[in-house]
Amino acid sequence: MSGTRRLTGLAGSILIIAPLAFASPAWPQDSTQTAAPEANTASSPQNTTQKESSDIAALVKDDNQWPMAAKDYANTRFSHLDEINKDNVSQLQMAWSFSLGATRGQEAAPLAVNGTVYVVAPYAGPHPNQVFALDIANGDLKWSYAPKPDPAAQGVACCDVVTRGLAYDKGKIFLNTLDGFSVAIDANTGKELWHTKLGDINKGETITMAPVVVKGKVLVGNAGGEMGVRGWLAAVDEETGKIVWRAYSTGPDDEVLIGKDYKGPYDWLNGKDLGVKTWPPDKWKIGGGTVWGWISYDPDLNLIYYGTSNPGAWNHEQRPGDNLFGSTIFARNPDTGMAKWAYQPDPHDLWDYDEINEAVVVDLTIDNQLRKVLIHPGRDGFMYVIDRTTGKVISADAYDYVNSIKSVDLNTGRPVLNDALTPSLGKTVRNVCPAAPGAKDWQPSAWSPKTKLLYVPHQHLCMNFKTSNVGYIEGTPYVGADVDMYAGPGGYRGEFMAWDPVQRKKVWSIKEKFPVWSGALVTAGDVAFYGTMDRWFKAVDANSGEELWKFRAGSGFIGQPVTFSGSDGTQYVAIISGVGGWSGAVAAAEIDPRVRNGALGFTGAMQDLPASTVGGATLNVFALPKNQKKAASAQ
Amino acid sequence: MKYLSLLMAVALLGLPSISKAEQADRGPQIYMQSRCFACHGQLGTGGFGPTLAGDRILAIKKFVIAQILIGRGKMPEFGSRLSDDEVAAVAQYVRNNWGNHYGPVTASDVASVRELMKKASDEAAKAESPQQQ
Amino acid sequence: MRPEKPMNVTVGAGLLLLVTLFSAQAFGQDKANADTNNPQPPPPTDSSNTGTTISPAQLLNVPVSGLTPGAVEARPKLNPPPADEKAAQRGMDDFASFNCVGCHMGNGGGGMGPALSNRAFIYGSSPENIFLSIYQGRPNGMPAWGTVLPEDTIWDLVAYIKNLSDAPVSQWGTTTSSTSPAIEQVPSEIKAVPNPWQYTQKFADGQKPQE
Repeated sequence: MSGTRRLTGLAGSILIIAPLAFASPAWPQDSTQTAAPEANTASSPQNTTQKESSDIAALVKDDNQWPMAAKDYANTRFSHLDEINKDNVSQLQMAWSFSLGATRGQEAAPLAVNGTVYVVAPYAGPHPNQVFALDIANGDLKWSYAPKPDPAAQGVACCDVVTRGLAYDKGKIFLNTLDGFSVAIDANTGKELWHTKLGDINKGETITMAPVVVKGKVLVGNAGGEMGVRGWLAAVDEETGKIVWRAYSTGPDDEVLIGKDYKGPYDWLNGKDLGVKTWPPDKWKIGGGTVWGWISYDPDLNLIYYGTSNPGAWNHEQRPGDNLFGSTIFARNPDTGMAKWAYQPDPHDLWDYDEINEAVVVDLTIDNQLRKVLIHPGRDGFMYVIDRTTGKVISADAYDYVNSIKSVDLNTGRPVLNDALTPSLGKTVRNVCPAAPGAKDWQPSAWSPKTKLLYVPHQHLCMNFKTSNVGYIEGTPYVGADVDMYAGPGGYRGEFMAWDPVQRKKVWSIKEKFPVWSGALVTAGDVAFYGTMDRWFKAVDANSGEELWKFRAGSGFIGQPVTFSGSDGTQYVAIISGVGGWSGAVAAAEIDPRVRNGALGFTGAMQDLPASTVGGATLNVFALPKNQKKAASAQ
Repeated sequence: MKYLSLLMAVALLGLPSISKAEQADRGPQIYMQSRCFACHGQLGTGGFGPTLAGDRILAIKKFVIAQILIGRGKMPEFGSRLSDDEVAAVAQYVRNNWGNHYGPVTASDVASVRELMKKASDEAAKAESPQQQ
Repeated sequence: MRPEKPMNVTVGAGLLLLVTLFSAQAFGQDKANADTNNPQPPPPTDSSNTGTTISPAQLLNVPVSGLTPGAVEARPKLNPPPADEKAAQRGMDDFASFNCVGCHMGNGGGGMGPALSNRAFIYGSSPENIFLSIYQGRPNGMPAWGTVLPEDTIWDLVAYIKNLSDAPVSQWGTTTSSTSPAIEQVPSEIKAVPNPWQYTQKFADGQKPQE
């Protein structure tokens, strides 16, 4: 038994030694804190608690968060949170507010990630495009970051100096500056991680869209369809800031990233180098097709969906041909940028009908079949339901008064135009509906899987339109049209409505005096939210449209309402007020309400807006009073 | 920037002709530096001046050269600012881009037009002088 | 737009001769003698007049600010070219040709760039100030057109802009209310004239303008 005793002693000493060896770790105590300032701390999560993720792919499924402008990759802008519901929303009150220190149009969506709210201001004030991080519960300012954009960018931004928001992934906030930079910022500290120049203001390019992060790549597109800019969408590596791919909207296939995987849904969308052939010689180089709107994503099909701006110039006679791929919806592989399909709702666009509006990813039962679709409220006034695997149009119905396009031929996918309204040089065409901003512009709709309705904020405008020849001088506008907009039939200029995409009809409607230029939000509490340009933030019953609550803010709304919850389960609804944008520029910028053709014709329709509101940005955060809150319901 | 075309013109008068490849690059450069784009637009889109993209009158080589050399109406003359090489380069550029395919222009083409115009100018002056012979 | 007609070589040569004969006097003309109908790209400058009535040296002395230290009257007395109807008409054509209309919009109502139809010229409203704003550009988005346009063209634009801002004025400030402004301009797609404030109509409150 002595051997056993010796072994036990040896084993015993090992047992004693071993824990001691592990007690003093061989690695530094806290590697993130000791990293040198220039080192990339981006890969460390924002916090180390086990419950909270910092990965955007997980955050989009967590309804306590609002981690991207459109809420989730499908762009539903729907939240399952129901502490606030149709029965108690009348009690909603201001929890806290924050002034962004800027005037001009406030289009950005606030983000809320793991206890912090992030907002960004437009190009205005002493610190243009400033980013703020705020405590979700009490609105304490945690940090702010001011980039250094070029003031000359203000001279090439067509439709107010706006930004539509930020993006978030893995402890980093992503910002687009007006003058064309993509920037990564540490979400905890506000320190700059990298900045990459993507666009050139001397070409007339700006960036106004909210970036979207997919699989480690920040997707950023340019603006400038009114400046003869050639449109593109770029993917930037979120760790390094290096450009991974860039897909142009016009030009040869190898630059538009059309290859073997591509198949257009109709014959006229298949062929070699259509981005060149559907233009007069060289005109594709100044062809527009910019990417300034929304990007949605289907992780199962691994496809991103986005639309492109009008082709340049507005005077269509200077660009005979279909002008691919302006006013086009693309489906692309996010890893490589290669196109899967493209569909162009407005070939050879005549009236500045960009097609950058959201493509909401939904599965709908149509004719007893479950279909994978996109719902796309067209700028041209038609609500498109598109098969998102092929790009084929399933249905297209006018959702507002349209006389420029008679119908959409479902066999060819092409619109049937009203030839009487075709602009021709020097002739004033009157009463074109919808006007250039369309029946709906960028302001995003929301989809409720509960009610199965799409909540659509939009305008109701018609216009006079007169074209002229324009010479292209880089860095200056390339438009060639005199425009004069005004209220559509009935005299009202805006509407907030619920649309049934399967029944293909409007279910209820609220008419407004001014265009409803804010985004929409809808929740499981069966409440839909939107803001008006004359300073009202409204909550309505998602089923009936009955107005349940409203709040008078400091300035008109053109921003995006969001909802999220704090760590104690309190549900908040937030939206930035601050009028401006293309529609509100007459109230926020130095534009004369007596000259109708100002602001690319929008002054004509909005000349009385300065009598209702002027600019001034505030983040408004609402919650129920403490004694009215119910316990948060189980998910 | 505005001194450059004048300086280039002065510096390059009398130098041997440049190669075709060099000439191809210089055309767009001269179009921008001499401010042709201000009136004729980039990509020949026009504006204050006529559209050059798809303008079939550009087929007439001597007409294009003469126009650049002496101007006409609101178009200024460039004969005193640009060398034969430079006129040839920019004339070739506008005649062979944006849908135009009208062939090359050489410095000797330009020189011969200058000579032709000088002869015409001399004869016009003679015709106006009091001496009849 | 120039009408496109095919021409054969014989006709072309004849045309060349015609052009040559008509321009014989023009050939070798003094390029510094800039006719207002014959605009040139900016010639090299020296301190002497280059055909306009104000020299660059004089323009340098035009203050942009409303403040001069010591409150000394320092604004030079200058003689800009006459801003007559012809100049304003040329200026209106130039305003379209050089894409001013793209940023400042028809009749200068404002858009990407500020309105020229009101009285808010933040860089100065004198003809010289407006000339310099166009010539030099301005930091918040006005391009430097002096690198492209001859001075005569810019003076024509100044004449047109003076017309654009010639609105009827009833008070020192501007009142905005449900009844003010009471008038709007007849829009440019209906009437395009070098003096747009001549034609006004009742303020339409965002509705279709009466015709």
